[in-house]
Amino acid sequence: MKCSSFKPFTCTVFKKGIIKNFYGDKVVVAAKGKNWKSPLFGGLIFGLGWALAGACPGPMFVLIGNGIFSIGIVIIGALMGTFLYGKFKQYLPH
Amino acid sequence: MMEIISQPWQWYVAGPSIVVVMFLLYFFGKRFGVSSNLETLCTMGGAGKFSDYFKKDWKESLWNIVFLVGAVIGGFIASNYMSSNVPIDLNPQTINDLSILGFENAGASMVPSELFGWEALSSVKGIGLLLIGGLCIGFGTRWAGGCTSGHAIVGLSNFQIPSLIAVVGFFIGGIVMTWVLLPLIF
Repeated sequence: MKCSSFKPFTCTVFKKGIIKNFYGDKVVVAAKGKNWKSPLFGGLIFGLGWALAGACPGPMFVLIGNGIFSIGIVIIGALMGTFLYGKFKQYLPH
Repeated sequence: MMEIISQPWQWYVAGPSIVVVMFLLYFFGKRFGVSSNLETLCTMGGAGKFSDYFKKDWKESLWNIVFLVGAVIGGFIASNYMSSNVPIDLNPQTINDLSILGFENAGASMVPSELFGWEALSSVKGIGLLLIGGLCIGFGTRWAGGCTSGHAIVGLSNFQIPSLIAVVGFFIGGIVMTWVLLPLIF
């Protein structure tokens, strides 16, 4: 990642090593690549499910702790969706 | 003290506390991303037999599963010991719009009973909607390479263009579902 005009926190503090991690190494926040198709199309589909099921992957699991067990069906669906993506990844634009 | 904690947290408390979680993960050499757990869970369930995509060593991602277990425990503690029965502070217009769609008492509970209650679960439509919602979440987050945590929180704060595109996609999908598809479904 270039640290040029814009300087996010990860550049100024992590990349320069001002804050090192617990093990004394530089903190690395992985770059997200240069693709635009996969974040756009994948993001659109996630957005549809997000609004329908009313949860993102994190809160899905928090809701189990809240005692809302029917969210388990959403989680099963999410695992099925993940499996389908893994199976058909090669045919999708990225 | 417990009284203060038990009230709904303000955005300027809840938001930064998420960043503390993120910082701690990176400080201990990990990363913040919940949806990759879905992949790990598939691998643990034996999905590697069907697709090379899942042929990974799930033990390397076990820490992230531990994070999920922590989220479940956190949800349990928060709802059982740290909650007051204050309704979720939704915009009155939102509550009104939802009641027109047939969602009564929006905000009174964590999730609407019209989607998550026993009555909804006893119909094919009710189960189908939750399953399809989940399917889109799983498929979409893996295709996008991240969800709200990986893209919206980490990616955006790291000024990643793909994350911005993904988040724009999240909201376009969310708007289409809320304003176009949900009124057709309900």
